[in-house]
Amino acid sequence: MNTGPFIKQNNTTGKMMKNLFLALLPLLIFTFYKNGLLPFIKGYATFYGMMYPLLLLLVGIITSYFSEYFYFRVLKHQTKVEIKEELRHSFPIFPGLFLSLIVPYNTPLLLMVFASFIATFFGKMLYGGFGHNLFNPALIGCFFLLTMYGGYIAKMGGYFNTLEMDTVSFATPLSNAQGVDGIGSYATLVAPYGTLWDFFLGTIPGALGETSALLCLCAFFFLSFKRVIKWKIPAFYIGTVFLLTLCIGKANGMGLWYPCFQVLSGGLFFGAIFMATDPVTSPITSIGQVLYAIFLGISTVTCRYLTPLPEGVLTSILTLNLFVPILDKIGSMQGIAIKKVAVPLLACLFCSFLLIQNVCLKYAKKDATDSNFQIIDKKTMGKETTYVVTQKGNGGLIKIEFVLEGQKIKTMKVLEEHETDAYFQMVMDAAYIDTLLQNQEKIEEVDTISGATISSKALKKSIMNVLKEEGILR
Amino acid sequence: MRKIKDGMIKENPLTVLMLGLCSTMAISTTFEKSFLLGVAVLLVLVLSNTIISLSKKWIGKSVTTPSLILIIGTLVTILELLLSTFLKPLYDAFGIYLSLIVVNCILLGRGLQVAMKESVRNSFVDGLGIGLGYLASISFFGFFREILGNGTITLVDATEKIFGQKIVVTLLQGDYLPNALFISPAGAFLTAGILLGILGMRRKKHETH
Amino acid sequence: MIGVSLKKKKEISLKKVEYYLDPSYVYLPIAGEDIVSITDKSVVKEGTLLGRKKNGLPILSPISGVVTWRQDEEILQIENNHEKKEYKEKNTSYTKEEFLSLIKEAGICGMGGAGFPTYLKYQNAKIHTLIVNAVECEPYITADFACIMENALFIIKTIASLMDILEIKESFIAIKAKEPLLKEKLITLTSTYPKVKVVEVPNLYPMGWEKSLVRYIKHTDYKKLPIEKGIVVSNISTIHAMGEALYKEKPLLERIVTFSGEKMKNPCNVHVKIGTKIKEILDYVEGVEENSDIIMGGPMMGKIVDLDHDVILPSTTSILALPKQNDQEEACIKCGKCTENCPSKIAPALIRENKNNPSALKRLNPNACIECGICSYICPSKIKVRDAVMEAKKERRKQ
Repeated sequence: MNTGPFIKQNNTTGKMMKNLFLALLPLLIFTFYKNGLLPFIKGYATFYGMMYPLLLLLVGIITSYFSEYFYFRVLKHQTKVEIKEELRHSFPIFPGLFLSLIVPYNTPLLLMVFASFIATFFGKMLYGGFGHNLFNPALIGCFFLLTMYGGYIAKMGGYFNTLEMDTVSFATPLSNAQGVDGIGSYATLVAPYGTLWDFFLGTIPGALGETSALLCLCAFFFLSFKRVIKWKIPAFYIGTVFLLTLCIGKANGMGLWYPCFQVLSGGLFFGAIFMATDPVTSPITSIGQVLYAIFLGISTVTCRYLTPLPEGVLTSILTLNLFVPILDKIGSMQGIAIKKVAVPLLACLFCSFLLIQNVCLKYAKKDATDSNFQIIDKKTMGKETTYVVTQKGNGGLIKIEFVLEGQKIKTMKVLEEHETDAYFQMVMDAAYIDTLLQNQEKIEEVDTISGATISSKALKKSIMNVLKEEGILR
Repeated sequence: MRKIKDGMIKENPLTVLMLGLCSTMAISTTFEKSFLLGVAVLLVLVLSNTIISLSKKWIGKSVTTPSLILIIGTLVTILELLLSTFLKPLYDAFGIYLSLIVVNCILLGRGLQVAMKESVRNSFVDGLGIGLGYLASISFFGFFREILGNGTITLVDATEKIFGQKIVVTLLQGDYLPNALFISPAGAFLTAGILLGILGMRRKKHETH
Repeated sequence: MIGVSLKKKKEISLKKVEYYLDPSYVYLPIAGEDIVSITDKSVVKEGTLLGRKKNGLPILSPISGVVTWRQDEEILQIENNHEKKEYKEKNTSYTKEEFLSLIKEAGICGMGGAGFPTYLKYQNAKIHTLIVNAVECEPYITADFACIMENALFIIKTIASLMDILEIKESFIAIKAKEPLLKEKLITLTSTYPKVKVVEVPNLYPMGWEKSLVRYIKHTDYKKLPIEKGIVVSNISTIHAMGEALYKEKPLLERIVTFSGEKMKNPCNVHVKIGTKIKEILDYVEGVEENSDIIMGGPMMGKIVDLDHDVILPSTTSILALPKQNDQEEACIKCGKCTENCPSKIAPALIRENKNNPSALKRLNPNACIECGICSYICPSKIKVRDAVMEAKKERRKQ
């Protein structure tokens, strides 16, 4: 007998999933365009290469369906009719669909089958099926794929599609940034791939479908309007990452472009809007969601700066999925409103301060000035700056005078030295000072003079220290 | 004879009783290491069960656990000393897990449960059965992990001195199959999970019949 | 304000007003702890005292006629002899104690659905504010609306008298926004009674809940009862009944009930006597179409009517005939909609998960549930969440 409300509203789980699929459709089209159609048109890919993203999608979805069929048939011994009904309510399309958007382009089809099977069977069905999984299934599949065969896929080309392999292919934006510990200039971090607008549109190297922040943002508005996803999670997640990278950027003298760069790369938008908001694996309570998102942000930034992994999104979400029951516990506490929020939030703030401190200190250590170097005099006349410095050599302090114009050292003159004559003569005879001045831009690569290592090294270090002082060298 | 079979299947220490999993997971990266650890545990277990059973009259109730640890510790130390003299590579390969046999739950567990209560003959047989069961399962573990992780079966590597040469059989090669996951600790847990899952399912089926 | 926007569907039942005040029989339910002082086969007049309920309210005869009652039976039946009673308007003044005694003996209880004895609500010394609940937030119901349309000035006069007798400083009549007829009528009439103000509240369900009204109008909160903050909330039909008692010494014997719903053949508001069998009235108003659920109360909080036994009580606001629903329950996807929209700010999905876990239930506090039904309504997987929470409440009470 019916006990509940006797009127109903039209929203069903099926409708929500349909809206989710609609929101993903532009991303799928973009994936095909960027990784398949565009290279084909420009002549970098064959027809097979053009259809490859769609093939991956197809293979992923078919494997998902098969995995669920396998589960119901072999483990639950259900009949075909029952299984058909179960599949209608279980939405097997989604692990495969999401997976095909987050794997690298060069994933072999067989590995795609493997990843999709792991995602659906182990990540979703073994936990009890739809609605009962603890971890995001697509992320589980991708995680296994990259852990076991990441090296192999990288050998096959990694994240780069055929067009990018010939034009851009040295590293994805975040791997590139990791090479310089995440801190660099606009020219080194952003410019190799285009402008920030390119990052926003998504025409940068990355996993198949997760690069376009613009399309993800449109999807976010659509899904929030239709009340399909938990909007607080992407808002606070991206906000936290933006805030933390803003602080890191400001502490290292980088402008507003830096947090924008960090937020728009690494598939953060995709992960925050589609993966973190997966309803089954994210908190139910409002406060739980906010805490989840903030911790995700902190975790992602930590991963990007302090761990060898270039991308933090995947591991952050998987780790935080474990904590969702606890976050819900906090969020469902009644009454003592302040206590229940204050303690975790303080923990967040503390963690983020530690993080920022750590990153800045780590960078600052690299930047520590040479203790053997001292500036005695500095004069600026018009465009020219004159430095008189001392650098510790073999026999004592070497006094050198530098004249800089703009960003370049024009002249370098040794005023006083106490080196061993024979060795210092070697350095002078080899016109070492000219070599140093000519190769200012690549000063680190200049070799010292063998036989007079210490003296030549002292001269080289003096130039480097002056350049560092001027901020030309980092 | 039946008792031995029991020890191997119905009361298999790794898959049913779930004792001694830590050293299993750490050591079973190659078939040879697993097999040899299994042999070591088998020896120590049989000896310790027998000795404990022989001395059970003299072990007071309040000093049971320390006494048993003493016995087991002595045996393991003897084993360690023997290995470090005659089979140094193996001793190195085992590393800390040889000493950890002392606190391997199988030994203390069977000592308390069986050896302290049953006759010498029964304890001996029980030790043999459980030990063989452990040997079988840890070998299978190592075999599985090595095949999937490296594509090889190591038959002789650390015991080179005895046989004179290394025998490593390479079975699987190719693009996909050898992958580092199964050799890593994460892989150990995965293998354990899958194995225990399959065996659990079979057991459940047997029980319902 | 937390709540959901429901389709009002009020126009259906405003087409006409019927009268069914002369039933052949009335049936009064007698609970085990009630005391009946009348004997079998007595002849009673309208308003005669028949006994006393456990909560102190009197059991009064809604009609004149012959009583049929045997010891330990659950229903007291009165056969109508169609004698009518006239009530004349008087102008007596009452002290507070006299007033409380008057409304107690008139059997007045909450007519908005809860049925709480009104005299208990008003007996506290420090009542500062009176909020009159004319919101009727559940769809289809227009009983209060009909009552106001018929008796607006009378009700406002009653409110003013209450404020004098009980020394209440201010009062508000809460109506739904976007109800222009009501607003117009009340505002013009309250112009002569400046202490009575009309306030519009948002068009959300459950805006008619006490706590929602107190939070919205007085911007304050309370733990168990609004009297903690010196506020009393009463349904407007109850106020009307109090007025009848004050000015005509007429006890609570009849009320307006809305008969509505898509499957109701002739939707209308009906004046009925307490104790009338619902089936009788349904037949009078031409009945219902087939394949429908007949519900007593609103569509959100109402219960299915047992046509053989159920009768009109003072707290019956409506009888609805709605299409049967057969939605299959699916797995909970933890979408969070129930938790987001719960007016009591508890987490129904979590309570449902932890139904059998006493320590979790202690933290989740299912007793705060007001059974409004928003969780079951809004669930996309069509899960009966409210039922799970009510089970959890029972579990909690056992401890």
